[in-house]
Amino acid sequence: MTKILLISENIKQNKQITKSLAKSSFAVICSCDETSVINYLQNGIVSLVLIDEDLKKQDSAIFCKQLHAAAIKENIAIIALVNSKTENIELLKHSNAYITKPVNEKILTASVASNIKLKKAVDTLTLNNSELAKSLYQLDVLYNTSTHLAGSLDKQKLINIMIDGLEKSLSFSLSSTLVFNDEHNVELIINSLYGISPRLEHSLKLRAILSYRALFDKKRVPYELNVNDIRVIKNIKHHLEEYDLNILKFDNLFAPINVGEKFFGLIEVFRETDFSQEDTTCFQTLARQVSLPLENASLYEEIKNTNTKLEKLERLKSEFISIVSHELRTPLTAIKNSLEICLSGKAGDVSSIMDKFLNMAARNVTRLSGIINDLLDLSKVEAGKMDFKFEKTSINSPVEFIKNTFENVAREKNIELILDKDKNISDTYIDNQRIEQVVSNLISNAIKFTNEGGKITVKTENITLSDIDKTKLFDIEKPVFYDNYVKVSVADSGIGIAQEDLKKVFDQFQQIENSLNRKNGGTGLGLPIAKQLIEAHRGFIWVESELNHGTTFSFVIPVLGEKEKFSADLEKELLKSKACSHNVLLVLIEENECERNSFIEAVREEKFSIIRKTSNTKEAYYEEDGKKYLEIMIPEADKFAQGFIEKKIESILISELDEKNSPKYDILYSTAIFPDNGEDVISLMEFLKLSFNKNIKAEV
Amino acid sequence: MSESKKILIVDDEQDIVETLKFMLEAQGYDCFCAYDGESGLSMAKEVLPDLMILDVMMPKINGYKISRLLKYDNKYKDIPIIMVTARSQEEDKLIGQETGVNEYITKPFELDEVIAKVNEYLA
Repeated sequence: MTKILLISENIKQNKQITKSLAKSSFAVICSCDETSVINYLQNGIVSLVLIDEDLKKQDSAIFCKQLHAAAIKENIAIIALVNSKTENIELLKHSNAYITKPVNEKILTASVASNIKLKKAVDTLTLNNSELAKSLYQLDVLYNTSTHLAGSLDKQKLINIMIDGLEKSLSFSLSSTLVFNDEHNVELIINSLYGISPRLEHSLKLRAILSYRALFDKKRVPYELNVNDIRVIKNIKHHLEEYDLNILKFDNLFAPINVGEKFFGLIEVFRETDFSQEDTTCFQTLARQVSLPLENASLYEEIKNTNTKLEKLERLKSEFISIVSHELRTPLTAIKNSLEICLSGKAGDVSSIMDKFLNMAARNVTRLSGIINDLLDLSKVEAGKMDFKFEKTSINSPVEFIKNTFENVAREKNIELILDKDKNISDTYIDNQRIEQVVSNLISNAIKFTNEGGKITVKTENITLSDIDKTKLFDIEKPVFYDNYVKVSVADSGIGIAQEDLKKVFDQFQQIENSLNRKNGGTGLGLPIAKQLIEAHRGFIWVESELNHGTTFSFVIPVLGEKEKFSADLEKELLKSKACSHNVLLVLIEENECERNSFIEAVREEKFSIIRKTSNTKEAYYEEDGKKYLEIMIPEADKFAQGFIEKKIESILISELDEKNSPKYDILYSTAIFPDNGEDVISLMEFLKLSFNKNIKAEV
Repeated sequence: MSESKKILIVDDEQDIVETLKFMLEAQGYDCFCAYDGESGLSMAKEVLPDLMILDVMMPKINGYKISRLLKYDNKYKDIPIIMVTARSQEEDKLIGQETGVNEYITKPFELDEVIAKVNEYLA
């Protein structure tokens, strides 16, 4: 029954009003006591207030003003009962309506009824409004959470973002999240407003396991889960109180965290007050939202792990090849030497049969060392550790030299080996030894695959860029072309290579027709090495062939002018230095000549190589403000600088190099004095060695 | 007839020392052998060989260090040193040359090659 508060001291009038309103089913409470009146208003006991103008104990206007605020809050209207000619403006100002005395029953009932109706309408509106505000807030949290989720690839972080979002939007009492990291790493994250009793903790674990099993129903669970396998992480807000099993009676929401078949965990939240439909939607949305990024995170983790493994394998492969090859060389030498002694006859007479077999052994030892050298070469060029000695010379000389060494082998197989050299061939920058290696490989291949009576033509010529058929060049990243080239080709009349196999010939360990290769010997490394060597000369190597008609291998090397050569060199240096992070400029400040020399000596002794050396010694070594500076370039700035901080070696200024490889004189590390005893110089050098594992050469 | 020339072979690989010794003795040289850097160095000072064949990777003191120690000492600096190693990197060769090594031979080597070099220095 709707209750109406009547503030009046007129007992007769009170009776009349109570009677009138009762007819319309309104109950009337009479009171003039300030405290109880406020209480009625604030606790929503009454829905309307009637106040008489004529109060004896207090001023009705002031009283009305006092009630006004509380009434507005609860959407309660105040109707003043006034004398017909009242001039009490204050009272009228703080009330919503008035009825003149003596009170007319019809007017009173109508006025009260309409005001009560209005209150109900306003009440509903207020409620809807607050619901709307709550939904808006939840949406906002959802949006923020999903933005956060999208930005992270860290599983732990993702779960925390989700729990955080849930806490903000649902203000739960407790959340219990089961997270599967992997089979042996299962966590139960409990976020709670208050502490957790041990009993509750145990039952939350059991509950999580049961929910987990229930999720998979009759299907096999991905992992068998045991209470002891679960690691509990607790985030407690207030330790004042402790939740016990009673919390399990709270309203709760539950959702699995999964993407399709992939299961990441599950989450359950408890709240003292019931969850609304909107809360449920919000909860489900968040649980669903976290699944996708979680999958991304686990994929990312997988990729990262695989990548690390691959990198490690690649490094191991290189190291393995290098170590094995070195280790093989020593016993091989002993075998070779022993055979040589026996064959020389110095250890006693050798029968012709013994001689035959000893020769066989010697031949195979030579072959084995060839294979080892190939492996070492390949691992070296691949790692960029191969050193080249470029000289401007005619390519005819290494080609001719190798052709001559193969003449006997060719004659034995009755193969005609012809050299067609261009006498006016341009000089180019080549490493003689490496070109010999390439040509030797090509000619020996040609002899291998050419039948008796065949013909091999080795040709050198000057060509221009337009003469190169670029469609023949396979597998070259960002080729750089020059205008003029010298070309060397080795054409045989041999068995040829099938079109589909042409691409493979330069691949490592690629053996076209295994049986053939076995018959003809070789590691399958010769051509990949040749390709790397030619590319180091900034040239290209390619192959043309027709099955059963012969094969032609050709390579070109650019003809460079002085200027191009210089820029090519610089580029090479830069490339090399890029491979080991960026360059730095080391400036040594040391006034004491003796110390300075000891540093220079130390640098020399350990053979660090200078990436960039100023041609002008004055530039490399100069005075400023009475201090002497020495510039030394060293690679790998980061490691270096870090080491310096760690080692607390002061005195070295390091400046970065810009793209043009000239030093920017920004001082990155600049603390003052160089260590003034020799020990520090030694430890510095030790450190340089450790940091670079490289040879640094100083020239001042 | 003058006394035969003395050659000191220092290598931790006994088999290699053995084969080198056999061939060099067949050439009429007087061979001394050491199987690690430390004894190699002390033997060099004791025997004062006419030539040394030195391995790089050895226990205790490596070949570079032996070479450096001898070449910076006036008493021994004229002893020719032939460095023999399984390491073939160009930079290693450079280190060998800077430490005063006279010749640098990469394993696996031809015995004839070593003998030719020895003969060249001791002719």
